[in-house]
Amino acid sequence: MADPANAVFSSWSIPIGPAVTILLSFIFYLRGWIRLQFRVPDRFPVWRLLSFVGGLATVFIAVASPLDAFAGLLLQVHMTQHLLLMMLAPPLILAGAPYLPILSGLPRAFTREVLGPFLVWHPLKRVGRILLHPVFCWIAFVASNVLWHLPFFYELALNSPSWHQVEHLCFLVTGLLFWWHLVLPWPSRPVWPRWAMIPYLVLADLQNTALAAFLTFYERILYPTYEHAPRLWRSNPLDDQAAAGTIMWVPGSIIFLVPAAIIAIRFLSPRSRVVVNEVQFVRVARNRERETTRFLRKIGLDPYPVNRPFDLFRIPVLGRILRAKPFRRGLQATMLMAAGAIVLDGLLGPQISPMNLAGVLPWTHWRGFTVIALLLVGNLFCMVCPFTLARDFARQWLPAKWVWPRPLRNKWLAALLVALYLWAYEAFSLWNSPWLTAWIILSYFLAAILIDGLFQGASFCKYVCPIGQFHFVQSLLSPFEVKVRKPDACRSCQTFDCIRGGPRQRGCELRLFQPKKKSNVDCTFCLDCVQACPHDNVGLIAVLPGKDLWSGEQRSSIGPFASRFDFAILVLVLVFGALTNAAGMIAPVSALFERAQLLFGLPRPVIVALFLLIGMLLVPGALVFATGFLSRRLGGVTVGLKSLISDFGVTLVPLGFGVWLAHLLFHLFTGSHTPIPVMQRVALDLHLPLFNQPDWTIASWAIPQLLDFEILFLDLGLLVSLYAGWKVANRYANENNRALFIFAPWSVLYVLFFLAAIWIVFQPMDMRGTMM
Amino acid sequence: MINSMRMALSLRVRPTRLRARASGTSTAIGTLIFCVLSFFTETSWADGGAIQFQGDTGQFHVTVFTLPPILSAGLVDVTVLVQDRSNLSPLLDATVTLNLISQGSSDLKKEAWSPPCCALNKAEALTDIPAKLDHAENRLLYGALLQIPYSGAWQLNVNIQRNIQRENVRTLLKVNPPAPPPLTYWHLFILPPLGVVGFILNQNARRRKPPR
Repeated sequence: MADPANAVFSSWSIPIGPAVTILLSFIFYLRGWIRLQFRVPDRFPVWRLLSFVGGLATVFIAVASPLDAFAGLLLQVHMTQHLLLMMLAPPLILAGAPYLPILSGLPRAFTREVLGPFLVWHPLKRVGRILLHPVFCWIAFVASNVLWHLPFFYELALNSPSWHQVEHLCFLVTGLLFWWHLVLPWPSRPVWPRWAMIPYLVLADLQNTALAAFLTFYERILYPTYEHAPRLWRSNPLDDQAAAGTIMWVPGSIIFLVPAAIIAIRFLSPRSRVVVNEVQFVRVARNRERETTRFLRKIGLDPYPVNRPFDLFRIPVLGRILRAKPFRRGLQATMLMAAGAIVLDGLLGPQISPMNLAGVLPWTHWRGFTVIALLLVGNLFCMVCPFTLARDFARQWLPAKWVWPRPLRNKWLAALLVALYLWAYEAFSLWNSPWLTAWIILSYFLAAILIDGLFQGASFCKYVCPIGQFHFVQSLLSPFEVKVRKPDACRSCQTFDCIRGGPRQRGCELRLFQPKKKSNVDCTFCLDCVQACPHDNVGLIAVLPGKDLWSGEQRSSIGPFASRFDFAILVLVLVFGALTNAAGMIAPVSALFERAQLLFGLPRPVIVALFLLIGMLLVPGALVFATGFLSRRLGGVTVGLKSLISDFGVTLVPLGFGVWLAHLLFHLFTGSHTPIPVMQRVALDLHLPLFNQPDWTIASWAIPQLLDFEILFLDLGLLVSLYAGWKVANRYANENNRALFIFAPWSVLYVLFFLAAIWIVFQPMDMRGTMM
Repeated sequence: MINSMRMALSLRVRPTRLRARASGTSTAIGTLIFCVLSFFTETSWADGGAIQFQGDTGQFHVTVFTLPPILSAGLVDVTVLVQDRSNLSPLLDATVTLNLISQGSSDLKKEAWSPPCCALNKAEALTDIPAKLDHAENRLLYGALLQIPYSGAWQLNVNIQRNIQRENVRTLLKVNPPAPPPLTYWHLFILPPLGVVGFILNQNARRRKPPR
């Protein structure tokens, strides 16, 4: 890129914050616009959508284009950027009449639960009225324009990226306020008569002209930064300042005076009275609807006015692929081959974890990608599980006729196995032993084949598999659920194929009856029910993540949480296990292990067992029981302590998931590229001339901002846990005061957990799965 | 069609209620957008920043910027604009490398704090760090992200090579001690208190009856 002109025009960068905000605004607006289009077609024609998109695009150009890159070097460029933010973007955005479409486009639960109460809250409406008063809007706009052009504030913005963003936000917000009364986005109504907008605009133009004239004719350089800035192509800072003033003056004045002239002409013209009768109105509305339908089809959207939840299976091509049986089998087969390669390399390859597939793929990548899948979709790991593929294959010869023993039909065994796994992981440094990893995978295959080969249904998945239990619990926070599309269709169903199965397709082996299934717990996303349902009434449907934490409903298979102490214990093991598992990799805990080994002369497995006994069972157990006891006493709850703990225990899942996310994504990002040299090594070992020599010092995605995301996950985990806890407390007490007493001890527990997690993420950590 | 007309009419009879809510709605949506924006506000690197050096050397006119303008031990973004001395047009075919040399003993200096993910990733080499054109948002600048290990005085050497011309400029950087991690990351801890305050307000708004 030796040509400077090319370099200038390629100086684009996408700032994450504004880009995400613009994208979200667009998505919510479009969603709401489509809905409103069918309700009030005459209010939301296509040009409103285009105008809103144009406004957002203008903001994006202002903050992401070369205008932003060169704003610090040339005042005229900076002035153009400000002009876009103050004069062009706001009227375009407002012409899209954005607040009703955005309100309709936001998730309904968010609008109802979060925004709804504020919309009818008197103090906020009063603030809104003050903010939207023409005098306030005019003063805010003018003050913002003048203040930010004072050298002190202008220099502040130039020297600090954060203040620069505040300045831009200020321009955009005051611009929106100023243009509000001119555009009058529906359904707002004029506060002042229309003619009053003429002096409103002219006075603003006078201020703008005065400021612009000062900049244009001032004979000294106003802003020191531009005096010292490098002069590109011998540009003169004084000329640059004059050009900036001219930009502010001429286009600025045009933007003020043209609307003033239009208002004046309309005001002076005789009013035309258009009588619209009903027939005409219907015709216009019909034409608009047709026009919109055509437009939506053209841009690839399905025009429907009905509010129905988003269903992944309804996406044209992707949906069909996702639900096709061969697709799932193909993914399972791929995972099976990967498992085979890992086992072989683990047994036969070098016993240095970062150099072996068994040391890298299962511990760093597979775990990282499964938590991402849980966060974005749901329990995708169980969907592509290689163990169940082997099991299904082996069932051709194994009887699978016994019934799983009644005393074991609960989560106790699973909780014990999860605890054992967490102990073994730390005690024997499983992540550091390819050989042990290979044997664990082999044992897993054997267990899945034997248990499900001898017992009916998916007993292994439901009662034994620790990986499955991890996914069942964390998928309580997933945004998608396999559930019925129309409950009415199930009411008339007499065959119950989703659970019983049919001649061609088995039903749910985990005994989840679709119409009664209320959460992702125990669902392996196998999609057997989807294939079995003759009415095509099961979809992969968007749900409010975490809604099951507080609902307290009777659900198929698992029942209400309050009656499942075994499930609560499994949850608590996974939640506090997240903390101890993450603590195991930080320097202070590693040092503690070493010191304890030296002091007591005990082997590492015993030290780790003691650590987990204290950190994962005794201390959390005591804390949870004390919290439950206090909550019950303070709130005067009549239900038993076990039920209360079972109900509130589940509300800790978001915090635990936050820690798992922070921990596993840390490994994924720090060891992101490690499979590349490992595969190069494997290819060399097999004498395959596919790759070059392995580069063990390969880079990774370890970026400083990773810590920001880790803390963000913990923040969100705390907030969701607090909300879930509050909702459960409200279920136990109708009066808010009592709810507060029930909730208070649990909130202390959440905060303590959060602080412990924050302390852990700030500690130096081992780079597992890497060569460091 | 009839349905959509009915819906349209049903919405049509309630404009006053809609209008009454409009101010609250817009404030709430505005607040929401503001919160989202503020949360995502980030320090953008490679925007130029404070000028640490400007002058001529050989055939070049060189300007060195650093961001943040007031330097602390830790990550610092260094960008360099290389111009032709005769016509001040930017030169984009040079090779620019940076050397960072500590001035004085490191005994009393305060070490920078790195996020754990980068703690073992510290760049030990502070010499011959290549400054690249695609690093900065402004593609006329050569830039690199430097990890200054501890506070104190540091000499920054900028080596520029273009064809057979090889030049070097030096500037002294005063690097302050690093801010403690909780202070650096304060903006990430305000989300829970903000959420709690928002929730309390939400509950308060639910309980209050609108005035007659």
